[in-house]
Amino acid sequence: MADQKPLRDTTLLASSMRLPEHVVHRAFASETVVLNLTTGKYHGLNPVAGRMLTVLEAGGTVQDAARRLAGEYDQPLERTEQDLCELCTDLLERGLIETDGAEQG
Amino acid sequence: MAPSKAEVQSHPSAARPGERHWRGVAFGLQLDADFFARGLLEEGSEEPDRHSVGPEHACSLALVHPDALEAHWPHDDARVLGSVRDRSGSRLLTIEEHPEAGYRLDAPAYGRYLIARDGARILCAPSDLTDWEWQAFLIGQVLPLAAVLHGFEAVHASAVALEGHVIGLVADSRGGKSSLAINLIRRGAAFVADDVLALQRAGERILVHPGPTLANVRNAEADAIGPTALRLLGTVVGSDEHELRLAMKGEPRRLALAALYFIERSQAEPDSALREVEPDLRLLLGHAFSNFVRTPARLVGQLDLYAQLTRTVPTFGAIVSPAVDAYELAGCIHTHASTLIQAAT
Repeated sequence: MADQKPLRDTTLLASSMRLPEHVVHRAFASETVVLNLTTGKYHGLNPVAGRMLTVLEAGGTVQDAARRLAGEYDQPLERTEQDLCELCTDLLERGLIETDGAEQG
Repeated sequence: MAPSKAEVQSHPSAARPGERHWRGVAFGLQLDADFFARGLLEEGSEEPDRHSVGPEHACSLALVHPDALEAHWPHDDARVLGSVRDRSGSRLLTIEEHPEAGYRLDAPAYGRYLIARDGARILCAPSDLTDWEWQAFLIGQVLPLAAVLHGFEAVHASAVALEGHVIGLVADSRGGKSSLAINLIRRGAAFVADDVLALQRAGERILVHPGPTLANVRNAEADAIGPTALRLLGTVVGSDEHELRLAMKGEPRRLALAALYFIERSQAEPDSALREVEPDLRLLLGHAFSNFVRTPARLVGQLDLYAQLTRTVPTFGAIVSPAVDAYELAGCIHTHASTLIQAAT
Protein backbone atom coordinates (compact mmCIF):
# COMPACT_ATOMS: atom_id res chain seq x y z
CA MET A 1 0.00 0.00 0.00
CA ALA A 2 1.15 3.57 -0.65
CA ASP A 3 2.56 5.66 2.21
CA GLN A 4 0.05 8.43 1.59
CA LYS A 5 -3.23 6.97 2.82
CA PRO A 6 -6.50 8.52 1.76
CA LEU A 7 -8.58 9.94 4.58
CA ARG A 8 -11.38 7.79 5.96
CA ASP A 9 -14.32 8.24 3.66
CA THR A 10 -17.34 8.28 5.90
CA THR A 11 -19.73 8.02 2.94
CA LEU A 12 -17.86 5.00 1.64
CA LEU A 13 -17.70 3.42 5.09
CA ALA A 14 -21.47 3.69 5.41
CA SER A 15 -22.02 2.08 2.01
CA SER A 16 -22.45 -1.57 1.13
CA MET A 17 -20.63 -3.11 -1.82
CA ARG A 18 -21.50 -5.91 -4.17
CA LEU A 19 -20.00 -7.55 -7.22
CA PRO A 20 -21.66 -6.70 -10.54
CA GLU A 21 -23.08 -9.70 -12.38
CA HIS A 22 -20.29 -9.50 -14.94
CA VAL A 23 -17.55 -9.89 -12.35
CA VAL A 24 -16.34 -13.15 -10.81
CA HIS A 25 -13.41 -13.95 -8.59
CA ARG A 26 -11.58 -17.13 -7.64
CA ALA A 27 -8.87 -17.89 -5.09
CA PHE A 28 -5.53 -19.11 -6.40
CA ALA A 29 -2.55 -20.25 -4.33
CA SER A 30 -0.99 -16.83 -3.94
CA GLU A 31 -3.64 -14.41 -5.15
CA THR A 32 -7.28 -13.83 -5.81
CA VAL A 33 -8.05 -13.32 -9.47
CA VAL A 34 -10.95 -11.03 -10.33
CA LEU A 35 -12.30 -11.37 -13.85
CA ASN A 36 -14.42 -8.78 -15.61
CA LEU A 37 -16.43 -10.81 -18.10
CA THR A 38 -17.37 -7.74 -20.10
CA THR A 39 -13.83 -6.64 -20.79
CA GLY A 40 -12.20 -10.07 -20.44
CA LYS A 41 -9.57 -8.50 -18.18
CA TYR A 42 -8.05 -10.27 -15.20
CA HIS A 43 -7.08 -8.39 -12.03
CA GLY A 44 -4.88 -9.87 -9.32
CA LEU A 45 -5.36 -9.17 -5.62
CA ASN A 46 -2.92 -10.19 -2.92
CA PRO A 47 -4.29 -12.54 -0.24
CA VAL A 48 -5.23 -9.73 2.15
CA ALA A 49 -7.05 -7.77 -0.54
CA GLY A 50 -8.71 -11.00 -1.66
CA ARG A 51 -9.96 -11.59 1.86
CA MET A 52 -11.20 -7.99 2.01
CA LEU A 53 -13.20 -8.56 -1.17
CA THR A 54 -14.74 -11.73 0.23
CA VAL A 55 -15.79 -9.97 3.44
CA LEU A 56 -17.17 -6.99 1.50
CA GLU A 57 -19.15 -9.35 -0.71
CA ALA A 58 -20.64 -11.11 2.34
CA GLY A 59 -22.80 -8.04 3.05
CA GLY A 60 -23.02 -5.23 5.53
CA THR A 61 -21.34 -1.87 5.25
CA VAL A 62 -17.72 -1.22 4.51
CA GLN A 63 -17.34 -0.21 8.15
CA ASP A 64 -18.79 -3.57 9.23
CA ALA A 65 -16.25 -5.28 7.01
CA ALA A 66 -13.45 -3.14 8.46
CA ARG A 67 -14.37 -4.15 12.00
CA ARG A 68 -14.35 -7.81 11.08
CA LEU A 69 -11.05 -7.59 9.22
CA ALA A 70 -9.41 -5.54 11.99
CA GLY A 71 -10.27 -8.40 14.34
CA GLU A 72 -9.05 -11.10 11.94
CA TYR A 73 -5.72 -9.43 11.29
CA ASP A 74 -5.34 -7.86 14.75
CA GLN A 75 -4.90 -4.41 13.26
CA PRO A 76 -6.11 -0.97 14.44
CA LEU A 77 -9.61 -0.25 13.14
CA GLU A 78 -8.70 3.15 11.69
CA ARG A 79 -5.82 1.71 9.68
CA THR A 80 -8.02 -1.10 8.41
CA GLU A 81 -10.75 1.34 7.43
CA GLN A 82 -8.21 3.36 5.44
CA ASP A 83 -6.89 0.27 3.68
CA LEU A 84 -10.39 -0.94 2.91
CA CYS A 85 -11.49 2.47 1.59
CA GLU A 86 -8.42 2.53 -0.63
CA LEU A 87 -9.24 -0.92 -2.01
CA CYS A 88 -12.91 -0.04 -2.54
CA THR A 89 -11.97 3.12 -4.40
CA ASP A 90 -9.62 1.18 -6.64
CA LEU A 91 -12.15 -1.58 -7.34
CA LEU A 92 -14.95 0.93 -7.95
CA GLU A 93 -12.80 2.78 -10.47
CA ARG A 94 -12.08 -0.50 -12.27
CA GLY A 95 -15.77 -1.45 -12.28
CA LEU A 96 -15.09 -4.58 -10.24
CA ILE A 97 -17.48 -3.66 -7.42
CA GLU A 98 -20.41 -1.31 -7.19
CA THR A 99 -22.27 0.28 -4.32
CA ASP A 100 -25.30 -1.71 -3.29
CA GLY A 101 -28.37 -0.05 -4.75
CA ALA A 102 -26.64 0.77 -8.01
CA GLU A 103 -28.30 -0.70 -11.09
CA GLN A 104 -27.03 -4.07 -12.15
CA GLY A 105 -24.99 -3.71 -15.30
CA MET B 1 -25.87 -21.03 -39.68
CA ALA B 2 -23.72 -24.13 -39.71
CA PRO B 3 -24.74 -26.34 -42.61
CA SER B 4 -26.67 -29.52 -42.11
CA LYS B 5 -25.24 -32.75 -43.45
CA ALA B 6 -27.64 -32.94 -46.37
CA GLU B 7 -26.76 -29.47 -47.58
CA VAL B 8 -23.07 -30.01 -47.93
CA GLN B 9 -21.35 -31.09 -51.12
CA SER B 10 -19.08 -33.95 -50.12
CA HIS B 11 -15.39 -34.19 -50.75
CA PRO B 12 -14.58 -36.77 -53.44
CA SER B 13 -12.78 -39.04 -50.97
CA ALA B 14 -15.53 -38.91 -48.36
CA ALA B 15 -17.94 -41.79 -48.00
CA ARG B 16 -21.38 -41.24 -49.47
CA PRO B 17 -23.88 -40.01 -46.85
CA GLY B 18 -25.03 -42.89 -44.68
CA GLU B 19 -22.66 -45.31 -46.40
CA ARG B 20 -19.80 -45.66 -43.94
CA HIS B 21 -18.93 -44.15 -40.62
CA TRP B 22 -15.73 -43.96 -38.66
CA ARG B 23 -15.97 -43.31 -34.97
CA GLY B 24 -13.62 -42.39 -32.20
CA VAL B 25 -13.14 -40.46 -29.01
CA ALA B 26 -10.58 -37.74 -28.51
CA PHE B 27 -10.33 -34.75 -26.20
CA GLY B 28 -13.65 -35.73 -24.63
CA LEU B 29 -15.50 -35.61 -27.94
CA GLN B 30 -17.53 -38.48 -29.37
CA LEU B 31 -16.54 -38.29 -33.01
CA ASP B 32 -18.50 -39.58 -35.98
CA ALA B 33 -16.95 -39.00 -39.39
CA ASP B 34 -17.39 -39.87 -43.04
CA PHE B 35 -13.66 -40.47 -43.42
CA PHE B 36 -10.92 -42.58 -41.87
CA ALA B 37 -8.21 -41.08 -39.68
CA ARG B 38 -5.57 -43.38 -38.30
CA GLY B 39 -5.23 -43.13 -34.53
CA LEU B 40 -8.40 -41.06 -34.31
CA LEU B 41 -11.28 -42.75 -36.08
CA GLU B 42 -12.06 -46.42 -36.55
CA GLU B 43 -14.67 -48.05 -38.71
CA GLY B 44 -17.67 -49.65 -37.06
CA SER B 45 -20.97 -48.89 -35.46
CA GLU B 46 -20.24 -50.50 -32.11
CA GLU B 47 -18.81 -48.26 -29.48
CA PRO B 48 -15.86 -49.88 -27.71
CA ASP B 49 -15.13 -49.19 -24.03
CA ARG B 50 -12.92 -46.33 -25.01
CA HIS B 51 -15.97 -44.44 -26.27
CA SER B 52 -17.29 -43.63 -22.83
CA VAL B 53 -18.19 -40.04 -23.54
CA GLY B 54 -21.74 -38.78 -23.23
CA PRO B 55 -23.86 -37.98 -26.29
CA GLU B 56 -23.86 -34.33 -25.27
CA HIS B 57 -20.29 -34.26 -26.51
CA ALA B 58 -21.06 -35.70 -29.94
CA CYS B 59 -19.20 -34.10 -32.81
CA SER B 60 -19.66 -35.03 -36.44
CA LEU B 61 -16.95 -34.48 -39.02
CA ALA B 62 -17.46 -34.32 -42.75
CA LEU B 63 -15.06 -33.97 -45.63
CA VAL B 64 -16.39 -31.36 -48.02
CA HIS B 65 -15.30 -29.61 -51.17
CA PRO B 66 -13.76 -26.17 -50.42
CA ASP B 67 -16.48 -24.46 -52.47
CA ALA B 68 -19.15 -26.09 -50.34
CA LEU B 69 -17.47 -24.90 -47.18
CA GLU B 70 -17.19 -21.37 -48.50
CA ALA B 71 -20.83 -21.40 -49.57
CA HIS B 72 -21.81 -21.95 -45.98
CA TRP B 73 -19.57 -19.34 -44.43
CA PRO B 74 -21.22 -15.90 -44.20
CA HIS B 75 -18.15 -13.81 -45.00
CA ASP B 76 -19.88 -10.46 -44.67
CA ASP B 77 -20.78 -10.88 -41.01
CA ALA B 78 -17.64 -12.71 -39.93
CA ARG B 79 -14.80 -11.03 -38.09
CA VAL B 80 -11.16 -11.99 -37.96
CA LEU B 81 -10.12 -13.03 -34.45
CA GLY B 82 -6.46 -13.42 -35.21
CA SER B 83 -3.86 -14.72 -37.55
CA VAL B 84 -0.53 -16.47 -37.24
CA ARG B 85 2.40 -15.68 -39.51
CA ASP B 86 5.84 -17.20 -39.83
CA ARG B 87 9.07 -15.23 -39.50
CA SER B 88 8.98 -14.21 -43.15
CA GLY B 89 5.48 -12.78 -42.74
CA SER B 90 3.70 -15.51 -44.64
CA ARG B 91 0.26 -16.29 -43.31
CA LEU B 92 0.01 -19.66 -41.59
CA LEU B 93 -3.46 -19.47 -40.09
CA THR B 94 -6.41 -17.08 -39.91
CA ILE B 95 -9.22 -17.59 -37.44
CA GLU B 96 -12.61 -16.02 -38.05
CA GLU B 97 -15.75 -15.98 -35.97
CA HIS B 98 -19.37 -15.59 -36.95
CA PRO B 99 -22.05 -15.13 -34.26
CA GLU B 100 -24.16 -17.95 -35.69
CA ALA B 101 -22.01 -20.00 -38.03
CA GLY B 102 -19.17 -20.50 -35.55
CA TYR B 103 -15.48 -20.50 -36.38
CA ARG B 104 -13.53 -20.83 -39.59
CA LEU B 105 -9.88 -21.80 -39.58
CA ASP B 106 -8.05 -21.05 -42.80
CA ALA B 107 -4.54 -22.45 -43.03
CA PRO B 108 -3.11 -22.19 -46.57
CA ALA B 109 -0.95 -25.26 -46.04
CA TYR B 110 -3.65 -27.42 -44.44
CA GLY B 111 -6.99 -26.24 -45.78
CA ARG B 112 -10.12 -24.70 -44.37
CA TYR B 113 -12.21 -25.94 -41.48
CA LEU B 114 -15.58 -24.75 -40.26
CA ILE B 115 -16.56 -25.50 -36.68
CA ALA B 116 -20.15 -24.97 -35.53
CA ARG B 117 -20.56 -22.57 -32.65
CA ASP B 118 -21.46 -25.39 -30.25
CA GLY B 119 -18.60 -27.59 -31.48
CA ALA B 120 -21.05 -30.28 -32.61
CA ARG B 121 -20.14 -30.27 -36.32
CA ILE B 122 -16.93 -29.80 -38.24
CA LEU B 123 -16.58 -29.42 -41.98
CA CYS B 124 -13.13 -30.21 -43.33
CA ALA B 125 -11.89 -28.95 -46.69
CA PRO B 126 -8.26 -30.01 -46.55
CA SER B 127 -5.52 -28.92 -48.92
CA ASP B 128 -4.04 -31.41 -51.33
CA LEU B 129 -1.96 -33.25 -48.75
CA THR B 130 -1.51 -36.78 -47.55
CA ASP B 131 -4.08 -37.76 -44.96
CA TRP B 132 -1.68 -37.79 -42.04
CA GLU B 133 -0.55 -34.24 -42.83
CA TRP B 134 -3.93 -32.53 -42.91
CA GLN B 135 -5.21 -34.72 -40.12
CA ALA B 136 -2.30 -33.52 -37.97
CA PHE B 137 -3.79 -30.03 -38.33
CA LEU B 138 -7.26 -31.36 -37.61
CA ILE B 139 -5.98 -33.00 -34.43
CA GLY B 140 -3.65 -30.22 -33.38
CA GLN B 141 -5.82 -27.17 -34.04
CA VAL B 142 -9.38 -27.95 -35.05
CA LEU B 143 -10.42 -30.60 -32.54
CA PRO B 144 -8.97 -28.70 -29.54
CA LEU B 145 -11.15 -25.74 -30.50
CA ALA B 146 -14.17 -28.02 -30.76
CA ALA B 147 -13.33 -29.41 -27.31
CA VAL B 148 -13.22 -25.89 -25.89
CA LEU B 149 -16.61 -25.15 -27.45
CA HIS B 150 -17.91 -28.28 -25.69
CA GLY B 151 -16.78 -26.89 -22.34
CA PHE B 152 -13.48 -28.69 -21.93
CA GLU B 153 -10.33 -26.74 -21.30
CA ALA B 154 -7.51 -27.46 -23.74
CA VAL B 155 -3.90 -26.99 -22.71
CA HIS B 156 -0.70 -27.21 -24.73
CA ALA B 157 0.83 -30.23 -23.01
CA SER B 158 1.62 -33.89 -23.47
CA ALA B 159 0.67 -36.55 -20.97
CA VAL B 160 1.28 -40.11 -19.92
CA ALA B 161 -0.41 -42.35 -17.36
CA LEU B 162 1.43 -43.91 -14.44
CA GLU B 163 -0.34 -46.33 -12.12
CA GLY B 164 -3.74 -45.03 -13.20
CA HIS B 165 -2.87 -41.35 -12.80
CA VAL B 166 -2.01 -38.79 -15.43
CA ILE B 167 1.24 -36.86 -15.47
CA GLY B 168 1.07 -33.70 -17.57
CA LEU B 169 4.17 -32.33 -19.30
CA VAL B 170 4.15 -28.66 -20.22
CA ALA B 171 6.80 -26.87 -22.24
CA ASP B 172 7.06 -24.14 -24.79
CA SER B 173 6.63 -25.08 -28.43
CA ARG B 174 9.55 -27.31 -29.49
CA GLY B 175 10.41 -27.59 -25.80
CA GLY B 176 10.66 -31.37 -25.79
CA LYS B 177 7.39 -32.44 -24.19
CA SER B 178 6.65 -35.02 -26.90
CA SER B 179 10.16 -36.49 -26.65
CA LEU B 180 9.79 -36.65 -22.89
CA ALA B 181 6.42 -38.38 -23.15
CA ILE B 182 7.79 -40.94 -25.61
CA ASN B 183 10.69 -41.72 -23.29
CA LEU B 184 8.37 -42.03 -20.29
CA ILE B 185 6.46 -44.63 -22.33
CA ARG B 186 9.75 -46.43 -22.94
CA ARG B 187 10.07 -46.53 -19.17
CA GLY B 188 6.65 -48.12 -18.70
CA ALA B 189 4.13 -45.28 -18.75
CA ALA B 190 1.05 -45.35 -21.00
CA PHE B 191 0.41 -42.78 -23.71
CA VAL B 192 -2.41 -40.30 -23.02
CA ALA B 193 -1.96 -37.30 -25.32
CA ASP B 194 0.56 -35.47 -27.42
CA ASP B 195 0.61 -31.68 -27.43
CA VAL B 196 -3.03 -31.15 -26.39
CA LEU B 197 -4.67 -32.04 -23.08
CA ALA B 198 -8.44 -31.79 -22.71
CA LEU B 199 -9.23 -31.12 -19.06
CA GLN B 200 -12.49 -31.21 -17.16
CA ARG B 201 -13.43 -30.55 -13.55
CA ALA B 202 -15.02 -33.53 -11.81
CA GLY B 203 -15.66 -32.89 -8.13
CA GLU B 204 -12.30 -32.14 -6.60
CA ARG B 205 -10.42 -33.83 -9.42
CA ILE B 206 -9.21 -32.62 -12.76
CA LEU B 207 -9.91 -35.29 -15.36
CA VAL B 208 -7.78 -35.70 -18.46
CA HIS B 209 -9.52 -36.96 -21.61
CA PRO B 210 -7.18 -38.96 -23.84
CA GLY B 211 -6.19 -37.55 -27.18
CA PRO B 212 -5.76 -39.46 -30.43
CA THR B 213 -3.21 -42.25 -30.15
CA LEU B 214 -0.71 -40.39 -32.28
CA ALA B 215 2.49 -38.61 -31.38
CA ASN B 216 5.03 -36.55 -33.26
CA VAL B 217 8.58 -37.70 -32.73
CA ARG B 218 11.41 -35.49 -33.92
CA ASN B 219 13.76 -37.22 -36.30
CA ALA B 220 16.68 -36.63 -33.94
CA GLU B 221 14.74 -38.26 -31.12
CA ALA B 222 13.74 -41.15 -33.37
CA ASP B 223 17.42 -41.66 -34.19
CA ALA B 224 18.30 -41.60 -30.48
CA ILE B 225 15.59 -44.15 -29.71
CA GLY B 226 16.69 -46.40 -32.54
CA PRO B 227 14.59 -48.34 -35.07
CA THR B 228 14.06 -51.45 -32.94
CA ALA B 229 12.80 -49.58 -29.88
CA LEU B 230 10.72 -47.33 -32.13
CA ARG B 231 8.96 -50.34 -33.65
CA LEU B 232 8.09 -51.51 -30.15
CA LEU B 233 6.51 -48.14 -29.42
CA GLY B 234 4.23 -48.04 -32.44
CA THR B 235 3.82 -47.72 -36.17
CA VAL B 236 5.11 -44.86 -38.26
CA VAL B 237 2.18 -43.46 -40.24
CA GLY B 238 3.93 -40.48 -41.81
CA SER B 239 7.07 -38.43 -41.80
CA ASP B 240 8.63 -35.25 -43.11
CA GLU B 241 12.04 -33.58 -42.86
CA HIS B 242 11.47 -32.65 -39.19
CA GLU B 243 9.57 -35.46 -37.54
CA LEU B 244 7.62 -38.64 -37.90
CA ARG B 245 4.08 -39.47 -36.87
CA LEU B 246 3.79 -42.48 -34.63
CA ALA B 247 0.56 -44.41 -34.00
CA MET B 248 0.65 -46.06 -30.60
CA LYS B 249 -1.50 -47.90 -28.13
CA GLY B 250 -2.99 -45.38 -25.74
CA GLU B 251 -4.53 -45.26 -22.28
CA PRO B 252 -8.28 -45.43 -23.03
CA ARG B 253 -9.62 -44.13 -19.72
CA ARG B 254 -10.33 -40.68 -18.45
CA LEU B 255 -8.00 -40.38 -15.48
CA ALA B 256 -7.29 -37.78 -12.85
CA LEU B 257 -4.39 -35.40 -13.31
CA ALA B 258 -1.91 -36.23 -10.55
CA ALA B 259 0.91 -33.82 -11.32
CA LEU B 260 1.99 -31.22 -13.80
CA TYR B 261 5.62 -30.70 -14.81
CA PHE B 262 6.74 -27.49 -16.48
CA ILE B 263 9.87 -28.33 -18.47
CA GLU B 264 12.46 -25.64 -19.14
CA ARG B 265 15.84 -26.15 -20.76
CA SER B 266 18.55 -23.91 -19.34
CA GLN B 267 22.27 -23.62 -20.06
CA ALA B 268 22.67 -22.37 -16.48
CA GLU B 269 21.56 -25.71 -15.02
CA PRO B 270 24.39 -28.27 -14.98
CA ASP B 271 22.07 -31.27 -14.59
CA SER B 272 18.36 -31.29 -13.88
CA ALA B 273 16.51 -29.86 -10.92
CA LEU B 274 12.93 -30.45 -9.88
CA ARG B 275 11.20 -28.08 -7.52
CA GLU B 276 7.58 -27.51 -6.57
CA VAL B 277 6.16 -24.32 -8.00
CA GLU B 278 2.98 -22.36 -7.44
CA PRO B 279 1.44 -21.93 -10.87
CA ASP B 280 -0.31 -18.62 -11.27
CA LEU B 281 -3.03 -17.83 -13.75
CA ARG B 282 -0.67 -16.07 -16.16
CA LEU B 283 1.51 -19.14 -16.47
CA LEU B 284 -1.48 -21.39 -17.11
CA LEU B 285 -3.12 -19.01 -19.57
CA GLY B 286 0.16 -18.89 -21.46
CA HIS B 287 -0.30 -22.57 -22.29
CA ALA B 288 -4.06 -22.50 -22.90
CA PHE B 289 -5.54 -23.37 -26.28
CA SER B 290 -7.95 -21.22 -28.27
CA ASN B 291 -7.67 -18.16 -26.04
CA PHE B 292 -9.54 -16.27 -28.75
CA VAL B 293 -12.72 -17.95 -27.51
CA ARG B 294 -13.72 -15.44 -24.86
CA THR B 295 -17.37 -16.14 -24.18
CA PRO B 296 -18.40 -15.60 -20.54
CA ALA B 297 -19.03 -19.34 -20.17
CA ARG B 298 -15.52 -20.20 -21.40
CA LEU B 299 -13.84 -17.51 -19.27
CA VAL B 300 -15.62 -18.62 -16.09
CA GLY B 301 -15.05 -22.31 -16.82
CA GLN B 302 -11.38 -21.67 -17.50
CA LEU B 303 -10.98 -19.66 -14.29
CA ASP B 304 -12.76 -22.35 -12.26
CA LEU B 305 -10.63 -25.11 -13.70
CA TYR B 306 -7.32 -23.32 -13.23
CA ALA B 307 -8.22 -22.28 -9.68
CA GLN B 308 -9.04 -25.89 -8.86
CA LEU B 309 -5.93 -27.13 -10.60
CA THR B 310 -3.69 -24.87 -8.52
CA ARG B 311 -5.41 -26.11 -5.34
CA THR B 312 -5.43 -29.82 -6.07
CA VAL B 313 -2.68 -30.74 -8.55
CA PRO B 314 0.97 -30.62 -7.43
CA THR B 315 2.98 -28.64 -9.93
CA PHE B 316 6.70 -28.83 -10.49
CA GLY B 317 9.25 -26.95 -12.47
CA ALA B 318 11.93 -29.05 -14.14
CA ILE B 319 14.98 -26.98 -15.02
CA VAL B 320 17.08 -29.16 -17.29
CA SER B 321 20.49 -28.80 -18.86
CA PRO B 322 20.54 -29.30 -22.65
CA ALA B 323 23.11 -32.01 -21.93
CA VAL B 324 20.46 -34.17 -20.24
CA ASP B 325 18.73 -36.24 -22.90
CA ALA B 326 15.01 -37.02 -22.93
CA TYR B 327 15.49 -40.63 -21.78
CA GLU B 328 17.49 -39.54 -18.74
CA LEU B 329 15.01 -36.79 -17.90
CA ALA B 330 12.17 -39.29 -18.30
CA GLY B 331 13.86 -41.49 -15.70
CA CYS B 332 14.08 -38.60 -13.27
CA ILE B 333 10.43 -37.62 -13.73
CA HIS B 334 9.24 -41.25 -13.68
CA THR B 335 10.87 -41.78 -10.29
CA HIS B 336 9.61 -38.46 -8.93
CA ALA B 337 6.03 -38.96 -10.13
CA SER B 338 5.87 -42.57 -8.96
CA THR B 339 6.93 -41.52 -5.49
CA LEU B 340 4.36 -38.73 -5.52
CA ILE B 341 1.55 -41.06 -6.61
CA GLN B 342 2.46 -43.74 -4.06
CA ALA B 343 2.51 -41.16 -1.29
CA ALA B 344 -0.93 -39.90 -2.30
CA THR B 345 -2.61 -43.30 -2.55
